[in-house]
Amino acid sequence: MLWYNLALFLAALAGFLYGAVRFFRGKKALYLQMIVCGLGCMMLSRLFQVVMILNLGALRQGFHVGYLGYSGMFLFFFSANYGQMDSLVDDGSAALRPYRRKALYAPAAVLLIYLPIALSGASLSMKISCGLIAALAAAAAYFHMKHLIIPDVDYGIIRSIRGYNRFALLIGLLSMTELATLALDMRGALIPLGAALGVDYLLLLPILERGVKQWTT
Amino acid sequence: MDNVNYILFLCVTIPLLLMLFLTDRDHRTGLTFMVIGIVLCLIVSELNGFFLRLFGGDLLYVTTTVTPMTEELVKALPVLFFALLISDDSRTLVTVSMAVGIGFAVLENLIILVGNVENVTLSWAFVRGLSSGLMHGVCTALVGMGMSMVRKRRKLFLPGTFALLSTAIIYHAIFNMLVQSPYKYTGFLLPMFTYLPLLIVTLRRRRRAAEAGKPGA
Repeated sequence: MLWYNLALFLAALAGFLYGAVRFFRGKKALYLQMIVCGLGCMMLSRLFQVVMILNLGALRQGFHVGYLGYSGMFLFFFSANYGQMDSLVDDGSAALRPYRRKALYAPAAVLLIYLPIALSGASLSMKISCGLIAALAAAAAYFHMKHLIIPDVDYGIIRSIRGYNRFALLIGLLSMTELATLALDMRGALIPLGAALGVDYLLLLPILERGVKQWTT
Repeated sequence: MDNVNYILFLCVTIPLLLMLFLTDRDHRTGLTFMVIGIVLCLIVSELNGFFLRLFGGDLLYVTTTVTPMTEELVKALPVLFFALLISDDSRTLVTVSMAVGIGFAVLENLIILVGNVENVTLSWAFVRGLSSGLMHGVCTALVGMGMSMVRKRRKLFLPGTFALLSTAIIYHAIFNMLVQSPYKYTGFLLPMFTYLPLLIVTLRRRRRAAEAGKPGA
């Protein structure tokens, strides 16, 4: 678990530093900065887990502060899409109702992944912690999915960042799968999961930047 | 001496309160929030004692899981009220939140000093001032800085504030975990690594504001 978390910490750190340099210089959109903060939150969570393993020899069973990194990241992603972007693409009209309904598949998938955790023999505190994370991941996933399928507004604001929403949705699903893997003690599955998550952390912000460039061109 | 925390509190707070009436308006805000930080530290010291008894005296668990949450939540409250009721100006909020954190650290350092008076040295005081003192300031300043960003939109405020708090809690927990590990010197340096970029950004902003001829630069 040490090398696993260390590798993911380094991937998240690289992604965060890239975002901090690109999106915090000058007056860049708050939307972008919130996504960088989300990745920063996950970077700190991975660092906490590394330090905990170095200090205690293993991750503590049940709740630990590292879980707040997941919830913080999903809250940042959710806030960015819900607070900044959603009102631009969804005016609440009935014509968009099918897209809102279809977007519910993403939170359903997140909650489906949580089901094995709830039914597993994991401690109650872990089930509750993962349940809260799943609720936040589901909320973030709903908006990622919605912004992937909803018809674009003028200027292609949403279309240009669909790549980012795809990657962010994937992070949500992979993170929940990672928690399920830990709860069910299926350590073997962590290697491919970790590799996929690491690539996601690294590519999330460059992909977002590529999309955002189309806003101004 | 059962009331030592209260004795220290009174010794520090009374002169500061007396000074408060003589300071001009520009400096009063910072000083007021520093006093608030000291008051909060006194409250939290009672809370932490309660939690330590609740968790059977497991100091490592309490200091790496419970106290980061209680302390960051309590320190964020006056910043939250300030942002909601008085001003969401970024520079003022950073000053106010840093003052709360530093005030908190002042009393915390004194309480620890008195509790370990036979073991403390000059180097302890130096390291403690630069590490833990700064850590509290930086954690609360990060919340204040972020709050000035998320305050601008109602939809962002609640999820954004919780996300910021999660980030501050993990940062605090990493510090507490590191200083109790064999890698404690890394822990001592951590707040400095965060403070320096914050300082550089603040100085640059101040210089730019001065060049533009803005008041209060």
